[in-house]
Amino acid sequence: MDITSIIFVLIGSTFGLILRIIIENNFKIYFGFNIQNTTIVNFIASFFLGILIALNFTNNKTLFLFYTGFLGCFSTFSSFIYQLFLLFKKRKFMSLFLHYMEVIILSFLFFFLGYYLIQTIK
Amino acid sequence: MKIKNFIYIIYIIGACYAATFLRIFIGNNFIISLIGSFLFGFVITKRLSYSKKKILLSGFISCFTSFSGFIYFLYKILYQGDWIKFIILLHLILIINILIMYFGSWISRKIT
Repeated sequence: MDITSIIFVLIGSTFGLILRIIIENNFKIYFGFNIQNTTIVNFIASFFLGILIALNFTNNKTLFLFYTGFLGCFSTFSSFIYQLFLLFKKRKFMSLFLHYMEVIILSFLFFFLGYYLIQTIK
Repeated sequence: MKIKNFIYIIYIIGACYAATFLRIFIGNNFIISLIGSFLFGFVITKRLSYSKKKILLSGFISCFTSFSGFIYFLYKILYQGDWIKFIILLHLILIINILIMYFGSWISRKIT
């Protein structure tokens, strides 16, 4: 890694961190099922990932800026596992299974939404 | 803005940078998610102050693990058209991570 890619990673991670903390603290959305703020963050991150893959970057520096820096700090896997873990501890296996399925299906839906959005524009 | 808040923000950003470079250094997504879940379970059952917990959980571990890397890994398998491998790996990764988090919280309860 040279110095410019380190700077790109630092810029991307700062933006991702600040955006995630703003969304975690300020947004409260209730529609239909019970949905947490970190799950919304993950949906947005998978939408951006779909756009990024459809654009098909070969340049290494843009990948460092967006994928490693921005998306890596913006999305959290451990908070998602923590919500499953809380349901596991309360022995609510049915809602654990439903939450599990809906997060995976919706995030793949958002991923392909971003992917085909760019494919049709191109 | 108070001085105390400013120092708190600097701590969070520093933890985020450390986590990002540690993630690049390790490189393997599955090992990262295992370490992240273990640490999350370990920290969440420990009795710490609110700001320390916020720095560790929201700053360090959330930047360390990345959901988009997980989705990208699954997408690469799905792109090859291997449906059975996709379904098995998806469930295996999630179940192993939940169990590792349970193990981390169990160890933290035993120690204190």
